[in-house]
Amino acid sequence: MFSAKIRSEVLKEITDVISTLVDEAKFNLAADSLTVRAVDPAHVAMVDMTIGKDAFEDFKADEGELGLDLDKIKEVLRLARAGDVISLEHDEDRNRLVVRVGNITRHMALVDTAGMSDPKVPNLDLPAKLVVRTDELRQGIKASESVSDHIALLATPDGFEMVSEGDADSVRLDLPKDLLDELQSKEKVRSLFPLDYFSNMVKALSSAKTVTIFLGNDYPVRIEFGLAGDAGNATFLLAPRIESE
Amino acid sequence: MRFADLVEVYERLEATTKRLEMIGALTDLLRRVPSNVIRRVVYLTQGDLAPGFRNVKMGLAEKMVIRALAFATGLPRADVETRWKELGDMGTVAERALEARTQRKLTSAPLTVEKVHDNLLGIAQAAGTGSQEEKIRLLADLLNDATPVEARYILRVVVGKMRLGVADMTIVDALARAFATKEDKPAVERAYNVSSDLGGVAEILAESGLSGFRDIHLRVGVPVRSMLAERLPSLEQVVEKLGRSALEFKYDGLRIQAHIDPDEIVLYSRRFDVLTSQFPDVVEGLRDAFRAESAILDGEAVPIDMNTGAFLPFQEVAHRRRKYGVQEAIQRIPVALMAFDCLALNGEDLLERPYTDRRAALERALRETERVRLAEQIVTDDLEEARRFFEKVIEQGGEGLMAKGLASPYEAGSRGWQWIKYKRDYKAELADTVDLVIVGSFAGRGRRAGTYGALLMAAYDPEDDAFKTVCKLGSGFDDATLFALPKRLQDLHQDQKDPRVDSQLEADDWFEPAVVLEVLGAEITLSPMHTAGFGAIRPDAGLAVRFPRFTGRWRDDKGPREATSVAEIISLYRSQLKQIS
Repeated sequence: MFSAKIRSEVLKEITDVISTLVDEAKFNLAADSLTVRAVDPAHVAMVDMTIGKDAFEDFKADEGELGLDLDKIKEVLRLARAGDVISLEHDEDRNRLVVRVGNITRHMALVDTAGMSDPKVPNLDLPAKLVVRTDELRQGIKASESVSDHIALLATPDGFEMVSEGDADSVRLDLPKDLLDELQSKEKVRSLFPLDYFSNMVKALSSAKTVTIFLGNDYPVRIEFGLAGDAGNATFLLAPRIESE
Repeated sequence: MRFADLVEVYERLEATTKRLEMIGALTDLLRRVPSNVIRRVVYLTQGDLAPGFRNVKMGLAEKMVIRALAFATGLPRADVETRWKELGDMGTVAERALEARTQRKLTSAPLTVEKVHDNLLGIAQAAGTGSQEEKIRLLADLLNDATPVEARYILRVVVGKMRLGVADMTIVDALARAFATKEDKPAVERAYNVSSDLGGVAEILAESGLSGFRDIHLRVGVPVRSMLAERLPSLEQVVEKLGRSALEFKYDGLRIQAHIDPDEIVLYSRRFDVLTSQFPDVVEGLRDAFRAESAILDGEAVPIDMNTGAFLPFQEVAHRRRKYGVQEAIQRIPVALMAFDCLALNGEDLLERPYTDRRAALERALRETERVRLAEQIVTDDLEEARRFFEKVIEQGGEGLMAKGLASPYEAGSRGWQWIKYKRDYKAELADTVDLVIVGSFAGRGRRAGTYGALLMAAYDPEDDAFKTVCKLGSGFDDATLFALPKRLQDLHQDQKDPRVDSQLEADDWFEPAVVLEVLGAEITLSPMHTAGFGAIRPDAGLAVRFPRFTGRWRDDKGPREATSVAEIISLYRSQLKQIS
């Protein structure tokens, strides 16, 4: 059983984060929360998300799972006006999701979840931790996009850096310790990442003012952030690129 | 089983050209492989996913493979395409692309043989909307976890070019050594020839050794590897080798193994492609002609000129494709099945029975119809008789003779001296057209009902002022010409054969020799049926135009006595004989 009401902005936020990596996802239902865990087809990135029932206006669910086509959810979201509440209901007899927005009702075929496994979250030992403002990250990405297709993230005991080096130009964002909400980095660590992935991930964050970044040397990055106020939280993992000699 | 262990052996196989080294490496491998994966290991080594007759096809176009590679490696598509054009081997392209991959994965697990086989099978079986995306996903999923050298072999299976240099018989050798002794190779080979499933044979050997072969039987629906023939350059040698033997008409067609049971008829090619949908006329013909419970028949599908009854060159139907245009092709050029062997009848395995028994079984199994016939055959050890039969075959559009030992079993998959083919050692080409006179006609059938199916054509012999036949002419007419013919010939119609016409054939209608047509033929052949030049080359044969075709040109400018003469036909026959190597 699943029946819920949710503000369209919140549903959009959730959808944007997941659709950064996949077009279809399995939503795991529990009495008080909803979780999604997905890996992109190239196995480069992962999202792990939990949304508490408080993020919803109304939430009733039994244990179960729903396979959703995120493009269809986006189509519905385009019909919503600011402040609209969207109602979601699982029609178990026909295995469809009944979505109501305003005076519109859409019956949405569900995606078969048989082929969707729950990926294991790799256990990562990441020495550096820092909390940075989302808009600073956006600035760094914006500065890098025309320069290169990859971006290096660095943490030192004194601050956080984003560096992008192209064939001719390079660009660098410096955030000294006092501009960060938190910094724990005993030594310098550095990893290189594909810019398109990193950029899409950061752009998907709409309500989180800050994110927590865990970093290592030539190792995946872990980005944690809140969703829907603080009723939900999510983690992105992104695998590094290896520097070509 | 880890895929890397298999790939390591593949690298060794690829590095050598010595068959014994290959057998050694394969034998070691087969001994190590757990019996529950040996089937898959053998199929993959063959560059396949299932026995050939299952017709498992990847259905992944080159463009899609390139897309999947680009997707999995993060390389631009154009880049992958350039490498493909440079290297020509998709396996090496994948290997290099993976080596160049700078992007790490979040999760990866060593590939297993099972996973590789499962995903590739999934690619082959994906169908319907979104199947291309699914295929790419499954391939990318493998490439995510593959090492560069693993990717090399995965991609080679995908494109169907394994390049290991391992023949089926090399695997057979290795199986014998791994699970029995090398002297047991014939037993393994036989099991393979009968079941056509090398993976299955390997599994039986791994589980229960040679004794497991007791359970391998011919099964309707499971194709048997075709028996093949040796060849000899002269009829003398053929007769000397086999003595009294069966000589069969060797048709220029497509070898077909027909599997018939009460529910279904399936046609396989020699390479185990399913041809059922391409030859619905053969299937229908079999349904009509077959009068037993079940059988496996061997034969040749041959295109036939409905009106002259002549066999046509096989190219006439070679373009028949699945779905598209088959119905039309059936109308235009029907195909007959010329059956020549019976491998199983009503559940009984006849492979070990002598040729004569199998031929008798074939005769019991089929009622001859227009579409299903028995291969024409004589039993003889007389060279002259053999030669006459051979000439008849050539004139009727056959390729040559197949001589078969009367006591020989059906040796599936092997080429031996119990079947010997004799084809012509020359190829003749008729460079010029001939002008022939219409002397008779045969009633049309099918689309040609109401007009003539074929015309009886003659050359002129000034020595005895006679018109002597050289061919039945049925092709080269457009519909308009064809249906105008009866009217055009009306005034020449005679109640009986004109006294000047010399013919052994009984035409349906006879005409006064008057109208001359220009005819193009493939060559002039010896013919026991036609009268032109009879006795000139060989005492009991005349000459005929093979594969005659009307050029469309009415030689109204020529009177019948100005038609090509018999002497010219004889000299054409002589001048065209050029030995070919």
